[in-house]
Amino acid sequence: MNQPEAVMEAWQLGNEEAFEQIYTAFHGPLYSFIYRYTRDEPFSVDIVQDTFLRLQTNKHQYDPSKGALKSYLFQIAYRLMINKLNRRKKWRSLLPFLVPSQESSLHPAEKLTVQQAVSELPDLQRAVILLYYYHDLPQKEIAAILHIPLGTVKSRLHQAIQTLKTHLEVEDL
Amino acid sequence: MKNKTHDHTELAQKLAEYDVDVPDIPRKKSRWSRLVHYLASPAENPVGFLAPARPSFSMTSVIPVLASAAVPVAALLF
Repeated sequence: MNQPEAVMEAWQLGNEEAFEQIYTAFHGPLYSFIYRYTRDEPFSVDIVQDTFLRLQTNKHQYDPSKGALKSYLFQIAYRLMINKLNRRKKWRSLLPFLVPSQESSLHPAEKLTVQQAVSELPDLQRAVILLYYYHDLPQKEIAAILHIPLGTVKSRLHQAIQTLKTHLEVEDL
Repeated sequence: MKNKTHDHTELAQKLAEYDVDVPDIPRKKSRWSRLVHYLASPAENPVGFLAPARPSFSMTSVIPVLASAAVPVAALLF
């Protein structure tokens, strides 16, 4: 596959097949990020679909000189997710019984520990650790995606690593 | 996942165990399936506080039994 930015440019110029390539390349990583953040499958599917819908409606707004397509898509997905979670929080406070209950699925003990450790991190630390470890994103791009200063990314990453090492009983402190 | 073996090796190995299965995600969103999902998703019982905390006889379970027993008794008597 060509560079994602080149494919995006082709799509902007009218090549509709290019969108298929973009979707194939990024729907998995986006889903994984949202799912690890929320542990809610239908919600994650919804956000992935909304992200590509947003990309389609604003396809000419993307400027490759401002950043990688991957960061751009993660930025859209993260903002959609946070907005939706905030809305859900508001509904939860107004009508607590209408909010879907959290279901815990069974996994091997080791995996559950890793999942729990990640999901118990504070929101921002969780987002930083997911983007850094699972999505190969440099700290500068993480700062752009989460709309926070680079220094905050560094400090949250450090805190998250220390917390995870403690929870997962990793000894190379 | 990024190969961050230069730092936090053991932590990176632990985190790598957390894999995610990506489902088939249709490109176009179906409003109907969203509605079905919303209606079918498990929610808390809004009157859960009325449920007995431990197994016991409640009027809702006893009344049908008494009512069904009363019918043959009434037929015998009258």
